Parts: sequence; C-alpha cells; structure tokens
Amino acid sequence: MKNRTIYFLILLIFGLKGFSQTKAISYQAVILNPQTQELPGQDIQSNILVNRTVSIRFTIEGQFGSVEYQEVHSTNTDRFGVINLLIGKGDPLGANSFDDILWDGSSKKLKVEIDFSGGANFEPLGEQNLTFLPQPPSEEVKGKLQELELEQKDIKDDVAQNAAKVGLSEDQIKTLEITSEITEETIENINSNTASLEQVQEQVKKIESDINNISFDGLNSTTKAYIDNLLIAVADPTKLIQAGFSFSQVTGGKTVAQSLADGISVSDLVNSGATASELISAGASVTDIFNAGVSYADLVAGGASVSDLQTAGASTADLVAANASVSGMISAGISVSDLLSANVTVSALLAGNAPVSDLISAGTTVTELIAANATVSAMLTGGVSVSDLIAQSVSVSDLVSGGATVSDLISAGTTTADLVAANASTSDMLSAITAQELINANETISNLLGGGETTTSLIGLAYQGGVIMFVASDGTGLICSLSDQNSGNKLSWSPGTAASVAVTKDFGTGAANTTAIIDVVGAGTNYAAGAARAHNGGSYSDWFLPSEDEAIYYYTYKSQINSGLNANGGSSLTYAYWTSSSPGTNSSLARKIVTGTGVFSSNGKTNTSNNRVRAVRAF
Amino acid sequence: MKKLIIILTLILGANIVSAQRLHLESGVSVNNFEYKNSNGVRLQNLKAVSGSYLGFGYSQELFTEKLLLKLDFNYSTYGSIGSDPDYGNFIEWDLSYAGIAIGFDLVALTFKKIELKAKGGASAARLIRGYQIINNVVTGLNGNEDFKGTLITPFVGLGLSYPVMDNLDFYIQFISGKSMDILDSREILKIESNTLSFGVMINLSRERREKHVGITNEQK
Repeated sequence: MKNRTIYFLILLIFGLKGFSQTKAISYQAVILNPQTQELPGQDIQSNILVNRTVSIRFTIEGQFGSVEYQEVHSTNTDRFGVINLLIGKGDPLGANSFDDILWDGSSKKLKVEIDFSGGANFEPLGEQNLTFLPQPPSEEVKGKLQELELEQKDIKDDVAQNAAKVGLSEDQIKTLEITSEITEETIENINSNTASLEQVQEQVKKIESDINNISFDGLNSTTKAYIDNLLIAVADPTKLIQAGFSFSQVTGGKTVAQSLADGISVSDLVNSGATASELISAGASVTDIFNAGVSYADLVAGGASVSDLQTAGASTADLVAANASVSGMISAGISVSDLLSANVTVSALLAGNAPVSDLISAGTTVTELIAANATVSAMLTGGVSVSDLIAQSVSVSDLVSGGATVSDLISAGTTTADLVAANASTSDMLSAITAQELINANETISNLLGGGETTTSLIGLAYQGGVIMFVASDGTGLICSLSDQNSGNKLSWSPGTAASVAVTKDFGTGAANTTAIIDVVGAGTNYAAGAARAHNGGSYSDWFLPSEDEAIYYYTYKSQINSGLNANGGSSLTYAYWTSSSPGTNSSLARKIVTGTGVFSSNGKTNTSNNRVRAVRAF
Repeated sequence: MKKLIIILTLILGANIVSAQRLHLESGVSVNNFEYKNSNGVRLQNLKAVSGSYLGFGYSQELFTEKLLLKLDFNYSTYGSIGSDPDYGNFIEWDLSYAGIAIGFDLVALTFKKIELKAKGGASAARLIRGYQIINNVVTGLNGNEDFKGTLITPFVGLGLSYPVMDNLDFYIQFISGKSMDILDSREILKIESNTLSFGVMINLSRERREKHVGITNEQK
C-alpha cells in the first residue's frame, strides 16, 4: 500500500510537470444541441449534444481585433455533451503558430465558433477576454533578447560612426540625453538617419519644449551650439539636404509616395529634394508642387500635363516658355492663334498636330504652311485649294499624292498629260476625262482597263496610228490601220507565182506570217503582205497582215471600228480582206475575210485573185 | 306524416319513461402516450402510468331491453412517463380530463342472472388540470397549445352485470380506447387507456320490479 502511494505521487508530480510545460490553454465546454426537442406540451430547448462530432474554431484576437492565431479542432462530445480541448494543439489556420502569440500583457480576446455537424460552417459559440500574466522569458526568448542586445550595440556603434554627419560627438550625445531627456533611441535614429522626417519633427518639438525648460548651466557653449545646429538641421530638411543628406536619408528611407501618404507636405518634400517628376509620379497636385516653388519648366520636364499646369495658373506664354508640348497644349484646348501669338512656330504647331484649318483660320498663309513643311494632304484637308497649292508651285504629283481630286486639278488647269504623268488615279481621271483623251495623254491601256474601261469600250479609239480593233484583258490588243492599203485598191496575195510559205491561222501569228511571206516573195508593196508591212501609220513600222484569227475582229467589232475609223479620218471596213493565212496545206490558196458577213473563204494567191488589204499592228 | 311522428314520439316517450336507469362507476386505468414529432420520429421509451376513472350517467333501453343507450359524465386521469436515452432527459405527464361519453351496452349473453355485455362508444373530454415534468422541472399544461384541444376517444369494452336487487345491478367492465390525434400540428399525440371499473346501475322504472313480481305470482 505504501509503495502504491509513492508510485501514485511520482506519477502525479510528473503528470503535473508535463502539463505545466504544455504551451496551450485548456478549454472545456458543455455543448448544447441547437435543435429544440419536440415533446407534447413543453418542448426542450437546451438539450446537451451527446456523442456527436463537432468542429470548434478558436481565434485569439489582439488588442485591436487583429487575428493573432486561429486553429480548428474536430472532437466528439461525450455522453454529457462535454468537450475537453487544448487551445494551441489544434490544426492552425494561417501562417502563425500558437508559439507566435506574444503574451505581452496587451488585452486579448478568445473567440470560439462551432459547427455542430463537424464541418467548416462555423457559427459563434462564445467570446471572452483572456486574462493572463505576461509570459516570463523562456530560454529561447532569452536567447533572442541577447541577439537584440547585440544588435542594439551594433546600432549604437553605427551611431558613433555616423554622429559626425550632424556634428555630434558621443559625449555630446550623452549630454543631450542627460540634459534634454532625449532618448538614446531618438539620437540613434537622428544620427543614423533612420527616423522619418515626421518622427524627427515631433521629437524636435519635444526637444524645443525640453530646452525651454532646462537649465543650460551644465552645458558649455560648444554643446549648446551643437544643440542649436541639431534643432536647425532636423527642423529644416532643406538644410539637411544642403548638409549632404539624401532625400531618402531625410525622409527615413521612405519614397516620395510613402512620404506623401504619411502626410508630409509637398512643400516639405520639395524642400527635402523631391523632384517634380517624383512628386507627380507619387500623385502630388501640380498646383501644390508649383506653389512649393517648382518652376513651370521643371514641372513640364517632370511630366506635368498642360491642363494641370493651366490649373496651377500657367498662361499660354508660360507654357510655351516652359517648353510644354505643343500637342499637349493643343489637346488642352489652347487655340492655334494663341499659340501663334505666343510665338510658337507654324512648324512646331504642325509637329504638334495643330490642324491646318486652324492654322489657316489663324492667318497662316499657304506659303508659311509649305515653308513649314505642311503636307499637301493636310493642307488640302485643311481647306487650301489646289489652285493655291499649284500657285505655290506644288507639283501635280504631290497634289495627286496628297489627295487632290482630278476634277480640282483639272479645274486648276492641270493638263491630262500632267495628270497621267503624275499617276493620278485612272478611275478618277475617267470620271472627268474621256478614255480617248487619256490615251492621247499616253495613258496605258492596262491603266484604262484598271480604271473602269472594258475590253470592248476601248474598241474604235484612236491609238498608235490607227484605231483599236481588239483588246485583251491584259491590255494587249490589235490596231487597225485607218485606211485600206494601196489606196483602197485590191492586191494579190502573192504576185506572179503562188508563194509557198508555212503560215498559220492562229491569233498572234499575223506578224510572223507577214514576215515569212515577205521573206519568200520579197519586199514590195504590190501584194498584200508587202503592202501591209510597208504601212507606217503613226510612224510605226511593225504593221502586218493579220492571221485568220486576228482578222476575225474586223467583223466582230466592225461597227465600233468603223466609227473610230470614220471619226479619225479613216475609211470603213467594207470589203473582203486578205489574211496572212492559207487554208491548211494548200499552198496555192490564201484566206480572205468578208467583213460584211465574217465568213472566211479561200482565193488563189496569184494575180487572178485580188482582195483589199488592211494592215494591223499589235500593242 | 304528423300521425306517424306523434305515434313514434309516444312510443319512444313511453319507452323512455319505462326504462330510465342511472349508473355510477369508478375504476383504475392504465394509460400511455403515443407521440411522433414533426419529423415522424416516435418518442421511444414512454411507459404507461396508472390513473383513475370516475363516471356517472344515465342510460335507457333502446327498442329492446338488451340494448342500453348510455350517456356518461366522467373524470379521468391520464399520463405517461419516460426517459430519453439520446439526451438523458426524464419526462413525465400527468393530466386530468373531464368529459362526456355516449355509448351503448348490448347484452350478448345471459347466464342465469349474469349478463355479458358488449360495450362501445366515444367520449369527448377537455383538460381541466395537467402538468409536465422535465428533468425535475415542473411546468403547468393548462393553456398549453398542445392540450387545448378536445380529447376524443372511441372505445370498446366488455362488461358483466349482476342484479343484486330488483332495481340495482352491480357490474364490472373493461374499456379500452385510443384517442384521436389531439395536436393541431404535424406532431401526433394519441392517448391510450385501458380502464377497469366497477359500477352500480339503478333502475328507476317499475317495470323490472313488476316483472319479477309477476314471476313470483306465477310461481305462487
């Protein structure tokens, strides 16, 4: 019995010791069933929740409601509805662990939430203030404190090293601490320049107050002078800047934006060396920056918008003087005339996207515009007439490139040849000029086709010494000579004897056929091929006797060809005409086309068979 | 038609006048609750309790001397007791009802002077006193919504009667009944009762006495 008692006591002592070392808070509760139990008569509202799995979430909140720690337990109620938990041994939510809670004496609150179904749909169960004593430092904490002390010592060493920046010796620092009750931390912060300007200024007020209340009997004049210098330095950030401190040092390493957010005035920041660009980027008002003494030029250089500068009171002259962007000024609504009045050049205005119309309205002459390299397009869009531009020797080509209409160009006296030479749009030209005129102005058949003319609409137009009798879609074609050769008199195909030459009937072979016939028969104008080749209409020497498939267009477009021939002083296609083709292998016969019917027939080649000759040429 | 009504009235009136009886009965009952909550879950582990029954009334023969129409005024106590293993609750009800019952006695068998009667009818009663105990907390039920309604209970039973005097019958009967649902909600509460009672019935008319007298004279 005695042994049992001893064992029990030993067990109890170790148990209590183990428990006391557990970093946790014991939590015990009786869980009531949230559901009412229906009964005849009075229902039961507060049954205990027996043998059920529930989820409990503990939240430890700090003094200002911030969550310092949160964890979840899943547990079972016993037959009395009781749960026993250790806060700190659950599943932590978030990055903090229970050990991270700083039991420093500040008030803390324990919030308890429950999900009766054991899930994660929590509802409040209770909330209470935690009462505790500040935790005595453990060995671990003591180690950290030692680390902090070492760190503070390092800082103190740094203070000593940096004290020279404001001219304080270590003795003076100590004197200051003693006489004005300035804390060592403040001095450290000031000397190491880690204190924010706001903190320093607050401390300055305290120093001022303290100094007013203390006796300087214990200070020598040198120390007092240092105190004065210190007051001046910390009170006036400009002097700190002048003394060689960076903006970052003066403001405790904060950016301009952070300093602004901390409530430091723009003026102080400007005095502390913040640039206009930094201030504008940090969202400071341009007006405030200007009022703090920054020039318009610096504001412009710092990226201030023209409208903000105007809000800050900048006149157009100020803006121009500050080299504000012309486009920005125009965008901000400053009139071109005002800018011109402020001596902004036309060139600068044009470069700043000033509308030419505004320039013209403001009295800018076309000459000035041209001198300022205004584009023809902009000038035309801005209302400058083609005539004025031509009068200013702007080339038709530039006008065409600048979008001048053919009609305006023509109205301004531009010739069709100039238009064609200037590569004016054929379609535009066709809307104002006839195809014949354009052909006369050396417009190409391809361009005419591209400009809206068709392969048939061009038939009959005078072209290259004759009239067009056929046009292919690629702009090539055939030209019919204005009149029959041999003064309209008939000729034999091959005088004397029937020339035996290999000729074909295919389209495009007429020229070769003609050359082949001439090669056999010899030069001369007393037979069809020779007379055709000898024709020199339009000073061209490549006329030929058409093949059968070429001559067919005599008939196909006879009406249009004849109209063209008549209009251009020629004679109509009326008769039967020799082709340069032979019927198959029969060397004694040649083919002719009856233009009235389009029917081909064969005649003998010799003098006994004569037909008319109408030379053609290809283009 | 009028004549028919008059004739029937006279016959019935003569019958009533000739067959009036009063009865007084008292007994014990064993009763229990049958309860299902709004989810249809039966409340388990309810036990029956004993109660008392007291009634008096009026009866009369109807068309034949073997059929008695009865009208009772009665006082009954009901209750139930139980515990809830899920929650560990102890629950008890104790109710007293006063009501009126209408029923019949039909003589099914006669053996010597003993008559075996089949009984049936229905009663309607209202709560006059009641309380509920939940975990030693007593709550009055007068005015409680669940017991505001009328307790309507159909019943059947058997009885034995014996004429101890010419105008006085002694009887014993067993009546079993189960009430209709008395709750006006999705919950269901029915009260079962089994009553064993003893009673006396006094024949107010002279017919029976004379009948016995007549027999005596013939025997004479």
